[in-house]
Amino acid sequence: MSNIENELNKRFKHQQLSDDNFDGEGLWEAIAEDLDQGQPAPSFHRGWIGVLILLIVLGGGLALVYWSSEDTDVSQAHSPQATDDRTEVKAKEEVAFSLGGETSDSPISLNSNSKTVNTATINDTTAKTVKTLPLSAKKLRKKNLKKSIQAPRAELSNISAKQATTNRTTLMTDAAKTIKSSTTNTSNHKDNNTLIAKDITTGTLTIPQTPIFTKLLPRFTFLEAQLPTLGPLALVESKRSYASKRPSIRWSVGVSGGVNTLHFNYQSDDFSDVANLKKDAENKFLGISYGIHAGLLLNNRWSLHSGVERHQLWSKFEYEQQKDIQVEKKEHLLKVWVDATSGDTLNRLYGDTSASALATRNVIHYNEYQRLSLPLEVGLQHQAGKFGYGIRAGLVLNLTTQQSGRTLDPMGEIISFEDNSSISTFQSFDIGLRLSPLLAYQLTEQWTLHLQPQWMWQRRTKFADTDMKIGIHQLNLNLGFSHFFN
Amino acid sequence: MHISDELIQSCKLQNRRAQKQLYELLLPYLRAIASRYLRDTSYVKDALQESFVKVFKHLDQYDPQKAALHKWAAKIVVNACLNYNKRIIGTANEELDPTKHEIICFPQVMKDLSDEHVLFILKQMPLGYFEVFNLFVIDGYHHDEIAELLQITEGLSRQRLSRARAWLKKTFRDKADFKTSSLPFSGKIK
Repeated sequence: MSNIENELNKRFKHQQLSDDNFDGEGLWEAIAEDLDQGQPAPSFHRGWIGVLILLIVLGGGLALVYWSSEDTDVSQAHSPQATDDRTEVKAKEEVAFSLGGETSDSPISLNSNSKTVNTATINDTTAKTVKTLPLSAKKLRKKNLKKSIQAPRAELSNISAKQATTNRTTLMTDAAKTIKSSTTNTSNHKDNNTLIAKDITTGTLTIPQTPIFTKLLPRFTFLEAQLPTLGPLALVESKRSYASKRPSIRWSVGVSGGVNTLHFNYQSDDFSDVANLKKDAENKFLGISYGIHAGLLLNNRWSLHSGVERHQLWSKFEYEQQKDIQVEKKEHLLKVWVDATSGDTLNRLYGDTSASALATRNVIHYNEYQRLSLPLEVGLQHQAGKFGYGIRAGLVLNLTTQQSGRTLDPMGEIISFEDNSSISTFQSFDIGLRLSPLLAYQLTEQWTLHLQPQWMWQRRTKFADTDMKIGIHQLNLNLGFSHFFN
Repeated sequence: MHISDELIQSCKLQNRRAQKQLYELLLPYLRAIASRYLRDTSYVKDALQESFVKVFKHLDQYDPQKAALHKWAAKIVVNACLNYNKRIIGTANEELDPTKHEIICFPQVMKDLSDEHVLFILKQMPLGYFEVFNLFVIDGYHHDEIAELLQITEGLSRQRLSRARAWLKKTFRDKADFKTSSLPFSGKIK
């Protein structure tokens, strides 16, 4: 409310006029006369009439009860039978229920069976896991562990030396069986094993046993048993971990398309009422969007996206306008002269005149907007199996190529707009902010299907060169495919 | 304005003396409203007579929980005045005739003018705008209530208010383009 309005409100809201310059004479008398003419029946009369009606109704009700007392006996005689019937039905229901109870037991037994099956499956998998380990190494490890703990200290060195030799030979034969054309790495590894075994053997034979050595010896033997199996595996693992630490970059291109809607929010201090009118008059209507995009996926987590999109947007302008108009009336009866005594019409005057009227105009118009968008977004995503989810946010450069429709000007008049003007909804170029959650499904190694709702916000200021601002919200639901290049 | 419950109860029982007492209490406030709403102030007495008769006849329907009695009575007066305007002047939304309507006034000058003079200026506003402006800005009605009262759409009510505001802005304009005031009276300034 402006200062002037505040001033007027203060002046007139609680204004009381004194009797100065007011010819109130006879007003009360006239009111009293009117009240006397239309005096309603006194309230006590109405009260008595009400009591009388109530008595009649009560009396009538009592009489009805008295006359229909025999009928009541008959109905009472019949009622127990009806109750019996109900009991029978109830009993049947109970039987049915107990039968249901029996059947309900069966799922429990089925469940227990399924549990057994599950356990068996688990056992099988455990067995499989065990089988995958080299049998010789497994046996050796078990033996070594047992003996290193239980064997007497004096015999330890001899036993370990023997085991080392057995171990070495087993390894050599295994290697010979499995890897005929061995790589340099594997042969080196075998040599290393042999060296360690030899060292230990020499250690046990030549070096006098010290307490520290005897303490360390079982650990050496344990390590020796571990090496043949751990060696190549550890190498592979280390290679894998090195590969995973390397930053992976994947390029993608894709297409997407879907539906969109527009929502407008008008704000103005000077024309707040028209802003509200515009908000009510301009409604959502579905449009279509489609585009191509390119992306850069870093470490399967961070992404950068850009592309070109085309949006065909619609909004529905629906407004019922009432307008005060003057209607010209020709040869209309303007005046009549009547004789006061006889009541006869003496003369009539016809002429042209104007009369006020309220004209109603209902306008429904579909406003059309064609836009090209260039998004630049940063995304964060997570992959869980074949499914992926994430979020993207960024800026969108929008170019409005075509727009036409109807809207309300700041004075509340319906007005048409074409292309870029001060009353058009969009400016020819603007920047929007976009946020879009993402759901993806990996179809193949290269192809991904994605569902992407989008919300874009932008603002248009100085509508019709006034302080009116338009907050434009565009919602999209897109479905698309992306192709990844490794 | 304090109106006792006893007085209201007595009025409900058609006690003529109590009714006169209530009439005297309400008259200054309701007269101010009638003078403000009626374009032709010669009908103030008629509108008040009609309104007071309605107030006394329908006093049973008055709910003290919803509003004070004088506010309730004011609604009846407003309704009566709007009907009078419609009956006598019509709903004509006179075109803004510059010779007739162009009255320019400083906001600070407005403070020195009497209520009567300010009302005179306001009444130069086209009737349709003036009614909506009065109802919305001064008496705090909502657009849906105004639409119901004037039997127009909410949209038209908003539109008229917007135009009334534009008219007000133009009339009580800033000093920059101030022109000689063309008030058709030689002021009775307070």
